Amino acid sequence: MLSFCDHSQAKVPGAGDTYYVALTGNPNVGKSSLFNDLTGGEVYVANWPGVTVDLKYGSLTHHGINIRLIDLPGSYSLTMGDEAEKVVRDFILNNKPDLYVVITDMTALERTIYPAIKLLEAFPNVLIVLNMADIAKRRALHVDIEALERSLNTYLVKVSALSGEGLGVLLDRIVDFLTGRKKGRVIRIDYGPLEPYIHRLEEHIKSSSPDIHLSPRWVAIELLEGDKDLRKVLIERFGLDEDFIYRVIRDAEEDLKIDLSLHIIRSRYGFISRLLSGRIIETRLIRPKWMEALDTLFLKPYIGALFSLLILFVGFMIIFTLNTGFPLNIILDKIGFTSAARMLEEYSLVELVSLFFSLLSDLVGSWLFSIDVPEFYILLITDGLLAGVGAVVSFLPLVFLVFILNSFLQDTGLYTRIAVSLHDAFRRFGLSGKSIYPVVVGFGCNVPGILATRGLDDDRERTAVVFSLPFIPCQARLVVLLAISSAISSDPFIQAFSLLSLYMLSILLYLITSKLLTRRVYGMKKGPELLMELPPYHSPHIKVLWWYSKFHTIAYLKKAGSIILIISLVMWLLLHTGPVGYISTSVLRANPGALEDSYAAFIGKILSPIMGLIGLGDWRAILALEAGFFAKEGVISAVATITGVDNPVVAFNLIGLTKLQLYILAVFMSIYTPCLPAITAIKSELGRFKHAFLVVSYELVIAYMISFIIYKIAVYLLPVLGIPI
Amino acid sequence: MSLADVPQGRRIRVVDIEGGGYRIQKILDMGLTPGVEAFVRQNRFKGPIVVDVRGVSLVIGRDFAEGILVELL
Repeated sequence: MLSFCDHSQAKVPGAGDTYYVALTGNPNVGKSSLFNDLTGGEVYVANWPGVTVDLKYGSLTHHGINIRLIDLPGSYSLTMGDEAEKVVRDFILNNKPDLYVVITDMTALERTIYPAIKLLEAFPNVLIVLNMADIAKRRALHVDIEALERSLNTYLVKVSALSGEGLGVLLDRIVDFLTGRKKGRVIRIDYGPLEPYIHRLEEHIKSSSPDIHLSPRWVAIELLEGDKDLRKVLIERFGLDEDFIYRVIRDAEEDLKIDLSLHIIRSRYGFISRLLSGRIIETRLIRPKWMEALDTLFLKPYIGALFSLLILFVGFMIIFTLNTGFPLNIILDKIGFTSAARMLEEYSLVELVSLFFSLLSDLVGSWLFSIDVPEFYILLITDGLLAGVGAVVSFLPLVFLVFILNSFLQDTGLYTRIAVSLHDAFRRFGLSGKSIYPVVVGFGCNVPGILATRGLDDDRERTAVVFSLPFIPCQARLVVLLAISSAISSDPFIQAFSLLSLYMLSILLYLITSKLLTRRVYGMKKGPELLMELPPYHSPHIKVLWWYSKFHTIAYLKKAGSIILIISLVMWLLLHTGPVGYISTSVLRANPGALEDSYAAFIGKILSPIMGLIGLGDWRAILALEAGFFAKEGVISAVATITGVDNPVVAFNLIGLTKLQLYILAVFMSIYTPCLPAITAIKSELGRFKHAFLVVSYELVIAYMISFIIYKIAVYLLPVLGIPI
Repeated sequence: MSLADVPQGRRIRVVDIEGGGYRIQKILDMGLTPGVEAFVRQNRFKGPIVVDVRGVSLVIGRDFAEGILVELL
C-alpha cells in the first residue's frame, strides 16, 4: 500500500520533496483532459490508504517542485450512492494531500463550484480551476475572479483544458500553495438554527480525535447532513461516540422539525448564490437549434431508443469491420463484391496481427530447428507460447477501438443521451440505460464488453452486468454457430431457426440473470431512477480519446496478459501430450484419431457419462468444448484437428453427431462458460477469483440444465412429430 | 403542482422534494434545492423531463419528477 506522510507542518521546500495534489470536481467538467494535460499522459495506478480501488496518478515537476497528481473520480456528493462518491469520500477521510484542486465548469459555475465550497469547509488548501474558459469567452461570460478570490481566500485560475491556455499560471499557483507562499483558510457557512448542534458535535469531535486532519466543524456538518452509512464511516474513522452523535442528531430533528440534509445543502447553495451574485455577467446565451432538436429526438419514446441503437450499431459496425472485416465482409459477399470482402478480411487488424505472429513463429521455428531443438519444444514455443502471446495481442486493437468509441461517446455528450433514451426499457431488468453499451460491445466480443462496464455508476449494477454479460453471444460464437447450423441442415429455414433460437435464448439468459442479481441478491425492485446531468454537446478532443484508450488498453494487457499466456500453454500441453508422451503433429496429420491418446481426450472420456445425459457423450465433442474454453473459435479448430478436415461444416458432420446432438452442442457451447480471456477480464473487473469462479460455475450449471431440458424434450417430442432425431 | 405536470418552456420555483434517502441527497447536491428557480426545457412525451438549473441541464425520470413539488413563475 502506498501511503504518504503529512506535509502540512513545518514545511521546508527542498529538492527531492514530493508534494501530493488531489484533483477532483463534478462529472463533465473536463477533469480527465486537464489531468492528462498536466501529467503529459504518463499515468500510473496505485492503492491509497482507505480507498478500495486503484486511483490514477501522474508525476510532474514545476520550478523544481515534484508534484504527484492524484485523479479522484468525478462525483456530486460524498454519500454511499455510487462507487465514485465512495472513493472520493474514503480518500478525503484517510489521506491528507498538500492541496486539493477542484475543477469547475466556468460556464456553469453556480453548480460546479459546489464541491469546492464543500471541500473548503473541510480543508484550507483548495485551489479552484475555472475550466472551459474558451467557451466562456465565446459566450461573453465574465466572472469577477478577484472578488471571488478575496471572499474565498484562495486562487481561482481560468484555464482551457482543450487549448492548454492558462495551464502555466495554474502550475505557478499550485506551487505557491505547496511552498507555503499562499496559505488558504477554511470557510465558514452559517447554518442558522443548526449552529448549536454543529457546535455540540464539533466539541465532541475535537476531544475524541484531537489530531484530526480535517476541520472538526466539517465533520460535524457531514454527520448531520449524511445518511446512515456516511455517519457510520465517520464515527468509526474518528473514534466518535455513536450514542452521543445520534442523540444530537435526534435532538436537532425533533427540536427544529426540518430535514437536516435538505437544510444544509440548501444553506450551502444559498452561500454560493450570495457569493456569485453580481460577480458573473453573461451577455448572451446561445444554444444552437440543432442541439435542441437532437435532444428532443433522443427523449422521444421508442424513436429515441431506436436512434440510440442506430448510433451504437454504426459505431460498432465500423469497429468490428476494422478489426476482423465482419460484418461488412458478409454483406459485401452477399451483394457480389466477393473480392472486396476478401480484401477487407485480409487487411483487418486481427488478420494482420495473426499474419505477423505466424511469420514470427515460422522464423523462430526454423531457427530453433536449425540449432537442433527437438520438435516438441519448437512446437511448445511456436504453437503454445507464441500463439498465446498472439491471442493476447490480437485482443488489443479491439479493446483499444472499443475504448476509443467509448471515450468519443462520453466526450461528445452522446453517451448520456443514449443512456437516457434506453433507460426505461432497461429499468425493468434492474439496469440503467448506460448498461446498453457493454451489451452492444459484448455482441462483438465479451472481453471489451466486460471492461466497458467501467462506465456504469452503480456498483451493484456493474457487478450484475459483468456477471450476466458472458451470455451475450460474441462474434466468435457466431462463427461456430454458423458452422454448426450449416452442418445441421442445408435448409436455410432450419439454419435460421437454429441461429435465431440460440440468440434469443442467450439474450433471455442475460436479462434474467441481471434481473435475478439486482432483484434477489441486491434487493433492488427496479433499476435506478433516472437522474443525470445532460452535458452540453462538445466536439471530441482527440488527445483525450487517445489517452483514455491507451490507459485502459495497457491496464487490460497487464491484468489479463499473463493469465491468458499460462493457460494457453497448459491447453497446448493437454491437447498435444498424453500418457504415451508427445503426440507429434506428423502423427496427427497421418492419423487424426491419435488425438484420442491426449490428456484432453482422456478428460473428455472421464466427463463422458455426465455429458452423455445431454447427448454429448462422444469424447470428440467434449474435446471440442474443452478447446472452446480457451477461445470459442477453438471449437472449430479442435473439430478440424480431430477429423483432419479444414472445412468446419464438413468436419462437424464427420464427427458423427446427429442433428439434435449438433444443436445441443451449439446450445452448450453458447452458454457453458465465458472463454478464458473473458474470465480473466471478469476477474480483473470484479477483483476476485471467487467471482470469476462463481460466474463460470453458474454458467456451466445453466448450460447443462438447459441442454438437458432441450435434449429430453426433443428426444420424446421429435419422434411423436415424425421427425428423425 | 409536481414537476411532472409543468408544461415545457415554463419557469418554476422548487417548493419541496418528497421522499428521502440517497436519491434526495443526490438531487439536492446536483443543485435542485427548495427555493431555486429553474426552467423546464423539455416535458413533451411520457419520457423524462429536462430542467435547466444553476447553469446545468438535469434529466429527471418521470416517477422521480412526481415527487418534486414546484410553483409556476
